[in-house]
Amino acid sequence: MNLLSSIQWEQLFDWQLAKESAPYILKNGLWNTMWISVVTMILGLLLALVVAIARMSPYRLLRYPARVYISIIRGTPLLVQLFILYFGLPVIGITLEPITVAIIGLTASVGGYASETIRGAILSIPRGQWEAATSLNMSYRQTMRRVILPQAARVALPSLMNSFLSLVKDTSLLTVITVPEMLYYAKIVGGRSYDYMTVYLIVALYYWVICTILNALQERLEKHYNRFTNN
Amino acid sequence: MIEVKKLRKSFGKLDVLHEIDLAVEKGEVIAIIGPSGSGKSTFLRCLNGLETPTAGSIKIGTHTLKFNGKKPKDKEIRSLRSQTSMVFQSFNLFPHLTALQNVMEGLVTVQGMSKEAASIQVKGLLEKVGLSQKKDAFPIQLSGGQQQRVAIARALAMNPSVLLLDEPTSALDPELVGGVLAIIRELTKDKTQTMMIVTHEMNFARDVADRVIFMDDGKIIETGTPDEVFGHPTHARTKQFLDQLYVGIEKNLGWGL
Repeated sequence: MNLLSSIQWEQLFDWQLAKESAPYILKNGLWNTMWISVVTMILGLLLALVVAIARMSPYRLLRYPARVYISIIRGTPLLVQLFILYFGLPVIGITLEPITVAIIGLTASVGGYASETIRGAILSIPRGQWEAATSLNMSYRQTMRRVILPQAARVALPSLMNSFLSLVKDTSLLTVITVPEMLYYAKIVGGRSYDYMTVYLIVALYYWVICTILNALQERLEKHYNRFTNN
Repeated sequence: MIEVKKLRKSFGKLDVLHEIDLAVEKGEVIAIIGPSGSGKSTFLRCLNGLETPTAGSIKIGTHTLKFNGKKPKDKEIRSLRSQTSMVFQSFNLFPHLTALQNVMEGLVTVQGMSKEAASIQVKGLLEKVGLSQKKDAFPIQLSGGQQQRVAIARALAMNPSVLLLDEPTSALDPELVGGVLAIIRELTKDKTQTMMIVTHEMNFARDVADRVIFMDDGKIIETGTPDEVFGHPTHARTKQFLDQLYVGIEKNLGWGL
């Protein structure tokens, strides 16, 4: 009871500050948040495809490194990975720009998670599809590109979209390695005004709006894919 | 056209095919019958390179491939396979492509034909199987019988020396079997397309086949004209198999004899 009565509701949201800082955060941070998300998602998916195929390879030399990589990415926190790249590497003489660390770290992360999604989707395609393509004398590559991946994409879509939403939100971690994205600018305003509540609520709202838009996009994509299936 | 010599296939310790010998003339229609698990499908899949035989040799057209336990070179399998096309029991159409695109796929992707040329050729094939109306339908929008007819068109598009059909009507609802058999029957009429059909439709086999092969336990037990094999089987095992079918009919199990 004491705690509740001590809450200063009038401090919750400062509309005046919001009016000034909301456009500032958006103008400076949104672009970086979005392009880093999109670029690392695309690079990450390409990496994931390669890793997924390596992971299913009959050759141990391909399979084992893929497994180790996936295990490391999925078994350690992204923030720790970013710290190792940004604060750890300089110790051994490798200094990378924050943005370079961001691209490498996030791409590697998407690559690790999405590769398992893609592998699962590929394995879900019935054997008969491989056989039909093979009997038409398609090569492994042609079969993958023309028959398996288009079908696997539909299976993987919801899960990959999940990865993308996580990725957009994970870009906020880049703040701690000084990449100027949305949260970074919110922190600046917060630091100046001491009104952290207002600016963090604004930035939360921004992430939520972006994710909601992406969600709508996912539904449209799924509809497009579902034209050749039952469900 | 086809020459198979001492073909063996084992899965681990299980021998599925023992020393199969067979020669097929150009234009001949061969029906392969026999109980399930007798190796009929495996034999057909060996001819298409979907299974790699353990030993023996297969010659189709001018290509000969010998097997000695190792996996032959990809290029060799592919040149053997290019002589054959396969129709599967469960159709295996590509669900993300329309009927037209399904039939075009091999021509465009494998043979490098332009889409325009392929689509003209494919429309003719779809007409042949009676589905020109359905060219833009996705497989899910077609009945099983229509799907199998598209699959037959897809196999024919590759212009195979030998058409292999693996129980093409076994997965169909009874009322759809006739339409698919009629298409296959039509293909056998001009006696130019070499065909090997694994089937449980005995009436059909009797009707269209130049030669019937009875397989059991991974061996060819008996081969001859339909009249010989169905009318006067010489081996006890063949007789027993056919008798079981007759019994099935008497008990109204609906087997095709």
